Amino acid sequence: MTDHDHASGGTGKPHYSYSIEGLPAREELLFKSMVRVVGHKTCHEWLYSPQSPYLQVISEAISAGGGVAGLRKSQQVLVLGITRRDHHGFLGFPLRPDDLVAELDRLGNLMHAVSTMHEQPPTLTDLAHSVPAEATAVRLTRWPPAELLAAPGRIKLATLMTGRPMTIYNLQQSSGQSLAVCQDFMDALRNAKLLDVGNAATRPSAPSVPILAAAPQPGLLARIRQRLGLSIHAGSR
Amino acid sequence: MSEHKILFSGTTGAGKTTAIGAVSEIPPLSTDVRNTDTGLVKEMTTVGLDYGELTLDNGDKLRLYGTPGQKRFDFMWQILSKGALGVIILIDNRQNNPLADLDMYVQGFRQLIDDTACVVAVGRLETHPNPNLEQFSTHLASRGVLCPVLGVDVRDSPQVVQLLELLLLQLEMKTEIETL
Repeated sequence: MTDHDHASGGTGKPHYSYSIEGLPAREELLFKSMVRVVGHKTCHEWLYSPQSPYLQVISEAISAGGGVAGLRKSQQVLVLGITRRDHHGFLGFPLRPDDLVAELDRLGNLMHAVSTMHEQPPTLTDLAHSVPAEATAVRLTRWPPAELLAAPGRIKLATLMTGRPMTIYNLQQSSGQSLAVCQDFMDALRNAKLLDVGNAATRPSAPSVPILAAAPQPGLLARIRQRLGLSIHAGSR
Repeated sequence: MSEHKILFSGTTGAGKTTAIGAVSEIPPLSTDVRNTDTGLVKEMTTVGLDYGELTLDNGDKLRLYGTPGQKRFDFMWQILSKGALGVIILIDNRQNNPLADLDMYVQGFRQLIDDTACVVAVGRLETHPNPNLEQFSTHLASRGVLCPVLGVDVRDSPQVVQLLELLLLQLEMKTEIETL
C-alpha cells in the first residue's frame, strides 16, 4: 500500500495504489493506460500495485458475485463493466477520460478523508466535506451562524438551501448570484461542517421536504414581491 | 378577487402590531385592550388579532394577521393558520426564557411550518444579547426545524420586508420542488 502522505514522482500530489481483478488482459491494459494518460488531470497520483492497494478495481462479474471480501475501511472498490449505471463506484466501457478522472478524484478524496480520520469510516457529513462540491447535492444541517451570513446576499443563499439538497449549480441557478459567490458560500458552510450529503442529485426525483398543503396560485408570489418592491425571483410563480 | 394571508406570531411585546404597521397599506387594525395580566409589563395587549393588508396588482388582497401572543389564545393560532402562506415568529429577547417562547410557537404552528414557510426574528438583541442567534439556530435544529433566524428591529420597514422576502424565497423553492 502506498503512503498517501508522501508525494511521488515529483508531482507533489498525494498518491494511491490500485489493483485490478477479474478483467480480461486487454481491458486491464486499457485501464492502466488510461490512468496514466489522465494522470496530469487527476488530483491524486494513481500507481498500479497489486499488493494491498487502496483501490480495488474489479470486473462487473466479481461485483455481481458478492464483491471483494475483507475490505478495510480505508479501501474502496471501483467496478468496471458494460452495464450503464449512473452511480458512484461504477464506470462503464467504453471508458471516457472525463468520467475516469471524476471517479478517481472522488475516490481519492474519500480515501484522504478516511485516512485523516485515523481509519474511521466516513459519515455522510464527512463525504460532503470530501467529494468535489460542484458534483454533490448537499443540504444545510442547520441555520448558519451570523458571521457566515455577513457578506451581502448570503442570507438569501442560506434560505434557498433550507428547502432541498442543492449543488453549487442549483444554487447559482436559483439565486442568480455568480458561481464564484455560490462557491465561496458553499466552501464556508463546508468548512463549518454545516453540510450533509443530500439524497438527490441535480435533478431530484422526489421531494425531500413536505409539499405545500395548498400551493400558491400561479403568479401570486411574484405579485407579492412586486407589491413589496422586491426583485422578481426566477422561481416566483 | 382572491385573498391570501401571512401570519405574524410570537411573544407578547415582540412587536407584531408594529411589524404589520411597517408594511401594511392601511393603518393596522388592532384589538388591543388595557392589560390586566400582571405578568406582562405593557399597558395594552392584543387579545384578538392585528390586521393589515396589501393590495396586489390584480386586486387580490394579502392579509397580514398578527396572532395573539398568549398561550391561552392558542386556539386562534390554528384558526388563523388555515390557508396561510407562512408564519413569521417574532421573539422578544427581554423575556425570561426566549428559547421556551420559541418552543411554544414552533409547537403551536408546527404543521404550518412544515407545510409552508417560517422565519424566526429576534428583537432587542442589542440590549439583551442572550440567547444569541446561534443559540436560537441550534435550538431550532434540535427541534428539527430549519428556517432563517435573524435579528430584527420591527420599527424599520426594510427589515420587515426582508423577513417577508425570506418567507417568499422558501415558498418559491417549495413550489419549484412540487413542479419537478
